Amino acid sequence: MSDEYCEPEDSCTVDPASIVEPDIEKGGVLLIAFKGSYLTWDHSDSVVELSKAILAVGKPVTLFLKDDGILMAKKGQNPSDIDSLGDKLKDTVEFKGRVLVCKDSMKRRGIKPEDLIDNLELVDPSQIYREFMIHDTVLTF
Amino acid sequence: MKTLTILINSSPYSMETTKTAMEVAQTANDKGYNVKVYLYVDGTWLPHIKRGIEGPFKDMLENALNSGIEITSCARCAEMREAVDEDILDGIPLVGLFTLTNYIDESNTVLTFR
Repeated sequence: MSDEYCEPEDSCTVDPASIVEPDIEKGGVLLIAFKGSYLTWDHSDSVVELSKAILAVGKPVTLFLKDDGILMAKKGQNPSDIDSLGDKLKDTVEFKGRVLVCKDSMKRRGIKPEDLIDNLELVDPSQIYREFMIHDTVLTF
Repeated sequence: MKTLTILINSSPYSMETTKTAMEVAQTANDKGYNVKVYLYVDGTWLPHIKRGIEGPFKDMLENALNSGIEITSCARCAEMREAVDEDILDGIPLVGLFTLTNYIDESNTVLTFR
């Protein structure tokens, strides 16, 4: 998909093998995701793909999951016809992207830490202000 | 010259979000910014001739392009919406995600409209 329209070096999906170690000197990008359900699948999928593209060019990336955005971090997703958002999110974590999950959003939805995929940071809502201070660019989805 | 990137994730008629985004782009350009617009997710409907730009957006997009604003659209998102080829306004290429990462690198400020 999209190969017809994109140059090989400018693809729309990111091969995990192309991801490199983030260079902290490059300044990071903070992506805040408010949507994570399959109703808004392409918004959620797009923010995860963008996180991997940022990692692939060597920039640090932090994905802050808030409100329904936390749903993409749930274990055991099994959509029949599309890629699991949880599996795609694991790539971001594996390749040194930080994934933060808002504890208030978890509490409201009855989601416990053991319901989520591994190696995420569970944070208070106020953490978002600290993240604003340490990233060069902030994008919301 | 400072560079501003505007990321539009919203569809053309989701309230006034997209219209506001294009007005910000044009105003910044008029004030001397180098402006780049990346259409992502539902934003890729914007240059669709039959389904997106009827109404005010055709003029807004053409004015933006004529005044030097660079506008690109995510190929994957556009394909999902069948918003490709002859359905797209001339001058707005379909591109990949690394165009957006380049915009982020080159920009002093990035604004998202969702």
